[in-house]
Parts: sequence; structure tokens; C-alpha cells
Amino acid sequence: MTATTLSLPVERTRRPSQSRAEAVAAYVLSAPAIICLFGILLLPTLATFVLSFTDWQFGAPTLRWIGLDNYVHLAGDRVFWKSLTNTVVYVAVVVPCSVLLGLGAALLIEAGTSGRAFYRAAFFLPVTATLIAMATVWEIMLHPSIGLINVLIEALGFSKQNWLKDPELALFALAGIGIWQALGLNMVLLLAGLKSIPRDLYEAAAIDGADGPWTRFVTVTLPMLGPALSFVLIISAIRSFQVFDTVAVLTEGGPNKATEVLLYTMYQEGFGFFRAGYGAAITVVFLVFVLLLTLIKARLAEKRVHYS
Amino acid sequence: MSGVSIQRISKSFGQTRVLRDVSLEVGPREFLTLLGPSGCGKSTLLRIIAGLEQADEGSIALGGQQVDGLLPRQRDVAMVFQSYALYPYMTVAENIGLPLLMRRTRAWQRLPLIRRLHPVARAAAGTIATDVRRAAEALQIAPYLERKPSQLSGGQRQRVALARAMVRNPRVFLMDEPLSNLDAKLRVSARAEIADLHRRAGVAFIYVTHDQAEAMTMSDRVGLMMDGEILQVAPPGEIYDEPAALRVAEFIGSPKINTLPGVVRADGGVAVPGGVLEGGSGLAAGTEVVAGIRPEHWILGMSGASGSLGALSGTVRHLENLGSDLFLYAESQGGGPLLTVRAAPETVRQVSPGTAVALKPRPGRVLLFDRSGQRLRARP
Amino acid sequence: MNGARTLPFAIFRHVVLAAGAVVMIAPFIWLLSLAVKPADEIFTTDIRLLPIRWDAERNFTEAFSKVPLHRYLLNGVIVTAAIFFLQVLVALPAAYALAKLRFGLSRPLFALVLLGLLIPGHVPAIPHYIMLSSAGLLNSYAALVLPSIISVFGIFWIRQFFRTVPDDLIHAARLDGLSEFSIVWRIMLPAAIPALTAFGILSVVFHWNEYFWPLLVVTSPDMATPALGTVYLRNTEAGTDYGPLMAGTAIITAPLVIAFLLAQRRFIEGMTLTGLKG
Repeated sequence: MTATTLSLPVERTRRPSQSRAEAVAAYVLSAPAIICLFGILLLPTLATFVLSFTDWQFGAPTLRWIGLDNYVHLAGDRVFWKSLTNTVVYVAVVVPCSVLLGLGAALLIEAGTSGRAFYRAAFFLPVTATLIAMATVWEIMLHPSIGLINVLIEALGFSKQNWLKDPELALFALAGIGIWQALGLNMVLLLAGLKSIPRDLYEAAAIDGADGPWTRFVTVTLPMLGPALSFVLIISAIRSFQVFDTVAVLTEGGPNKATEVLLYTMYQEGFGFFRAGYGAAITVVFLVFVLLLTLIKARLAEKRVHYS
Repeated sequence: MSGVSIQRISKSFGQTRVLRDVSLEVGPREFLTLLGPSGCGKSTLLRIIAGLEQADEGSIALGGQQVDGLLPRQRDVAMVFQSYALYPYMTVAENIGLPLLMRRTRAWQRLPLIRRLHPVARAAAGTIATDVRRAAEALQIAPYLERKPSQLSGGQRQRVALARAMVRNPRVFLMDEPLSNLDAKLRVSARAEIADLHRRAGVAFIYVTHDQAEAMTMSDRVGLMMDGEILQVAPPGEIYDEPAALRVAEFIGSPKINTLPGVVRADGGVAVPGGVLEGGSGLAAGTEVVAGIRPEHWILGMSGASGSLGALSGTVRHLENLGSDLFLYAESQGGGPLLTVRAAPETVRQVSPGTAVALKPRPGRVLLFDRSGQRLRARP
Repeated sequence: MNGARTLPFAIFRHVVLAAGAVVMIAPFIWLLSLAVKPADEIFTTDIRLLPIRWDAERNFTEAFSKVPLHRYLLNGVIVTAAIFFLQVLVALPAAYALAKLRFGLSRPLFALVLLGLLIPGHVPAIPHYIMLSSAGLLNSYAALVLPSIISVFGIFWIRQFFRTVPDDLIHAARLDGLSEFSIVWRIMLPAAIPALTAFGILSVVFHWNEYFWPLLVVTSPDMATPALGTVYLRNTEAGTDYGPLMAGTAIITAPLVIAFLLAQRRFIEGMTLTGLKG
């Protein structure tokens, strides 16, 4: 290889180097994701915004720019306000109940060793089960005359209720199903939180004199579980805000709009009455609420709360 | 044909310059160790040679061929990583065979069904299996070929990593601290194995480590790196005895070399706090120097009588008896940090904390550096 | 936890948990119970778990004859498998690029992924419907699958997992002669199996149970997914003969419930990702 030095300038014409190859590969590898991200998620979301400023209806040949008219209309729409109120009430019932019951289950399961796997499985089962199918079961259990729940209630000396047809009760009956479905997920998230509390903290607390169950819970468990707990609260709020399935199948927003919720109103306006522009405006309102909750969650996540 | 030629490589990560104008020639069959503290840039240099990182400036030639624009897989180099980087879900045989598979077959021949049916692919599979077995036998891991890396001990994993590197006869071996995850005992036997592998492979090895014992025992030459620069490249004995700079002298050798600030006198002596040492002849009187004396280069006197030329008097403060060696830590009358002295273990009967001693460097064993740390050649 | 080990507490714990468990499981038990009862035993206020006269055969036969249950299940398998396969095909390479490759748009792209995480699936539904309708794709597998092939959560989750894969493994692969594409499928895909399992369970459970979107785009029974199928079955029932309805509902609920019971740990791992997803 005597020609080495002579050949240097010729070989200087550079072939693709590692960093060039890396960048080229990166663009090729992420191209499908970039295309889908824009084509399926970001641009259609933008389109929803744009639609909400038009009077477009499905199948209509033309659309008109009507500015904020849809939102002005929403502000005066009694059904929309009813729907928004119902959604908030639903969230306000489901979130505290499912989190508190989930916390109770998690604490009791962690407090002993026997039967852990069984109880965990039993409480978690509704999370994976097809809600729409189980809703049918619930409907029969809530049946005014032969429903299991009414039969039990009557046996205890109370009077039977027409759960899903009574405007006073229907929303709370749906919330009950919501709690039943959400509890297990909250429980396992909190179980993970409980497991991550270092054992020696309890021992330290015991040495410092905090050895009763309640003192231990207040001095160690609750403060250590705090971040996890607030995280679970937000998650279950976001999930229950998106309630749709049980309403669509069991009550269709009735009786007399008593269970009308945001997503169902959106579905009705957009796809039932084909008013796409108006439906889009409701979607935007829905998005604003979910975004608020998600931003709170992101702030909590920044404080390094992890569950995986 | 030259092995590895590194010319004027510079590299920065953001604002930090990790390599400053580094040049190095490695012979075709040479075992060169890059030794230095963590963060000195030695691993980055290795990765630039492999093509995994890109130099900002400078160029690299392997076996006489300029490789700057080439991808790692086009450079024909093998690398053994500190973490071994074994593919966790592949068997040992698959791990060792992967580089051969990628070289000897085309992408379409590796497709699931074709892999079993196509004659070229099947023939390749056969030769790969033979080569894998030969490499595994050479490193005594043949019984574990069907295991997963997670079922192996640290030492066995390290051999798999070596086998994966040697199986394809690369033109250069790069090793990035391959022994640092082994326990002390295994490390000693692995050193011999790597030296043996080098003899058989007959190609250039570039070995990165922060452990001077590894550098001193295996290498033909050691390149000492600090702060992104190579301070000295020399055979192990030379880098120890004739360090080119104070930083080299201080990094190599354990316990660390003793250093004393001093001034050259007209008679060639070096005045240091507490006495005068020999060894400054040939240097201009009044030159400010740092004198370095290794712990084993002291002659220990028991008299404590000061004044004899070239001797410092001091008091023993602390003893460390390792059985094979005895280290004394003595406080010089001139003050300054404790001086480290290696003495024969029997000396322990004569000294204890508080004993007065006289310390005199062996003739010609005082290393002089200027105040910026450059070596001063003072011998007449 | 010495205080918790006392006998009265242990009894208290089991009584409360068992009562809770009964409430949680009751709908499933009742579902099975009704599915094997004749109509006259359903329409009674007596509470009995097992029927006096078993009528399982009629109930299940009738459920299958009323609606194409097998078709719903098949559609469920096709749609959830296609969605998961495409989600991984799109997300895995991008996740690798975002986690391990240096390129100019890396940060902006990841910012878009995080932005995408904020958008609930219902929000782009109207434009999706318009697009599929104008492409003439309503009431097809394409309509059920396409809107779901991008999972920003999948990209995010797999990227986070890939960040834990040591760089040296990729460096070794590059030196061993693998191209970036081979690295994705040969090195990263097998390494990602645990993350993909969790994500796969989340994805399959979600799309098997999904009702909103199939309700919009499916117009004929042969395209119905399991969740939508139960509603079709329900609509054939005028409100007297609950036996076949419960039998059909049991069939559609069974796959996920059985899968959960067989692989509880994996399911819980997968579903807790919902915590990150929101």
C-alpha cells in the first residue's frame, strides 16, 4: 500500500456517513407516522374547529361561514346546558365514589396476604369486560319489576324503583354502572402506588410512635400516596367525562333529557340530525373540557409520578 | 500496510470539546491501549474509529484505506462493549453468527421461508454454523451455544462478546473497557485470554481502559489520554519510567508519585522544602521545577541525621503493611503533603509512627518537570 | 404491619372485600344464570342462581339464529388484529427514530406526538366520517380500522421503552452489519415484546369494546363489531325473552373475560397504561 498517500485526495469524495445515514433513516422510518399523525389526527381535529364555524350539514352541497353563530346558538340551547350539567354531575358522582372505593379496596387488599389475587381479579373484571354488553345485563338487573336489585331492595323493606325511567334516578343509575366499571382500574393504579411506598417508612413511623392503623395511614400512607391519588382522580375524571356507551344503549338521553350527556348530544346533533357544524361546535366544547383536565394531568406527570 | 492511522481528529459535543487535534498511528499487529480517566475522550475516539460517532475534523484510515465517509458496517471493524451488548432474545449461537449472517446473505435471503429453502441461504447457514462453533470452541463457550445471554455468568457473556468480534476476522479490534464488569479475579484471567486472542488474530487491537494494570500488562504501547488529548504514546515500561509530563507521571503508578516543588541550584542540586535533591545538573540555576520521586525510588535511612546531601529527613506518620509491600507515609521537615515510601516488608520491625527517617532518592530516579508540567531532561 | 395481623382485623378485611367482590362479580354471575334459564324462570321475583329447568341449549341456539354472532366475533378479531398490526407497523419505526436516531425534526416531531396525546378519539370523528363517506368506504373494514392506525400513545409508549435499550446494543448491531431498517425489525422489535404486549392488550380491549365509532360507520350486521353486535341482538328482542339475549351477550363478553382470567397480570399491566393515556 505505497499509494496510500497519493490516493488520499481521491477518496475524499465522501460516501454517506453515519450521521447522514441516521438522519435519512429517521425520516424514512417516521414518514408513515408523520403522514398518519397529520392525515388522521391533527388535520381532522383542525377540520372539526373549522366546521364549527360553518352551517354545514352532512350531504349538503354548500356550506356557509357563519362565524360564532353555532356557539351563540349553543349558549342559548337548553338541551346543551342540560347535557353539560348532566355530564358534570355524572363526573362529580363517579370520580369521588370510584376513587374512594378503589382506594378502600386497595388498602384492604394490601393490608393482608390471603386472597389478594382473587380480590384483585374480582374488582378488576369489569374493566376489561365489554361495557356495552354488560350494560344489557345491568338493564335487566335494574328492571322495574323482575330486576335483581329491585327484588333485593323490596326484600329489605324498601319500595321498588324504576331506575332507568325515573328522571330523578336515571343519571345516578348510570353513574352507578360507571363506578362499577371504573373502580377496578383506580384500585390497581393505587395498589401500584401503595407498593412503591418504602417499607422502612412504616418502621420509622412505628419507632416514632405512629403505630396505630389510623395514625399510620395519616402519617405515612396518605402523604406518600398523595401524588398517585391526585393522578388517579384526574384520570378517572377524563374517562368519565367521555361517558357515552351506557347512555346510548340504556336511556338514549332520556327520560326527558335527564341523562343527556355531551358526547351523546354531539352524536345526536351531528349524526342523528346531520348538523355537522353544530355537532362540531359541541365537540370543541367537549375538547376544551378534556384539555383542561389533561393539562392538569400533565402538570402532575411533571412531578414525576409513574405507574408502569 | 498500516493498521490504524488517526489524523488530527477533533470532536465537540455542544460546547464541550472532547477531542482536541488527536493523531495516532497504530501498527498492523499492534496492541495499543488508550488509558485515561473517565471523560478523557478515549471512548469517543474509539467510537469515531468504528464510525459510530462522526469527527468534526480530521480523518481515519484503516489498513491504508480512508474510511471517514463509511458507515460502521462498511469499515470491517469489530468492537467489544463494556456492557457486552449481546442481543438478549437471541441464543449465544445467533449472537455470534449475526455478523456473518448479515455479511454472507442478502436481505431477501433472510426472509423466513426463503431462509430454509434457498440453496445459497442454506449453504451460508452451514458455513456460519461451522465458523460459530470454531469461535465458540476457541473461547470455551461451545457448551452454551443454545443458551440465552441471561442464562450465562458475567465471564461467559464476556467471552460471547469476544467470540462475536473474532468470528468474522475484522481488520481492527476495538475494545471499550471489556473487563470492567468482571470481578477482580476473572479480570486477571481474562487479560491473558485477550492477549492470546490478539496473538492469534494477528491484527491491530485498540483497547480502551481506565485501569492501568490492564494497560501495563497487555499492551505493546500505551497511549495516555487526558482532557481530549493524547499526552504520550509509549511502551508500558517507558511510559512509567520516562513520563513525558507531570500529569502522565501522576496518573500512572500506584500509589501516586511524590511531587515536591523546587529550584535548581548552581551546583546542580534541586532545593526542595526540607533539603536538597540530586539530579538538576544541566539546567540553568534558578529554574523552578517540580521534582517527582516514585514511592519505590526512595532509599530509606534510619538515622534521621539530616544534612547529608540529597536526603530529606522526616517522621513516619502512618504505615500500611500489605504483606508483600510496606508503605510508609512520612512527614518531611520541610512540610508539604506526606511523602509515600515503599519499603521491604521486613522494615516494619524498625519503624512505627513517630520514627525519624532519612529519605534519599535512588540515583538518577528524580524526574524533573517545569512548572507547567512538561518533563525536563536534566541528565548530563 | 403488625397491627393489621390481628384476627378481628383479618375477619373484617375478608368480610368487606368479599362483599365488594360479590357486588363486582354479580352482573357476570347473573348474566350466566339468566343465559341458562327458561323465560318463565327469568320473569319471576324468586332469586335463584341455578335454573329448575335448564334451557341453555335453546337460549344459545336462538341467540345464534337471531343474529350472526359468529360474524360479530370474527369481525372483532379481524378489526382488532388489523388495528394492532397497523398501529405497530406505523408506531414502532417512528418510536425507534424518536428514541435513538439523531435528526433535525426529532424534537418538533415528538412535540407533535405529545400534542396528539391531548386529543380524545371522539374529536376528529366528524371529519373522519366525512372523509370515509366521500371515499365510499362507510360500512367496511377500512372504515373501522383506518381512523385507529395511528396511535400517538403507542408511539409515545414504545419510544419511552426504547429509551431504556442501551445505545451499545444498537452500536453493536451497526458494526455487525445491520442497516437501520434491520435494526428496527431484528433488534428493536424483539426487545420491545414486553412493551408491545402491554400496548397490544390495551389496544385490543379498547377496540373490541369500542361502540361510538362502529355505531357511526357500520350500517349492516355483517360489518358489526362485538360491541355493536350486542346492541343489534338487543334490538331484535322486544323485551320478553331475555334468555337468548343473555346467551348472546355472554358469548360476546366471554373472549376478553376468559383472556383476562388466564393472563391477569398482563391484562392489569396493559390496562394500567390507560392511566398514562387518559
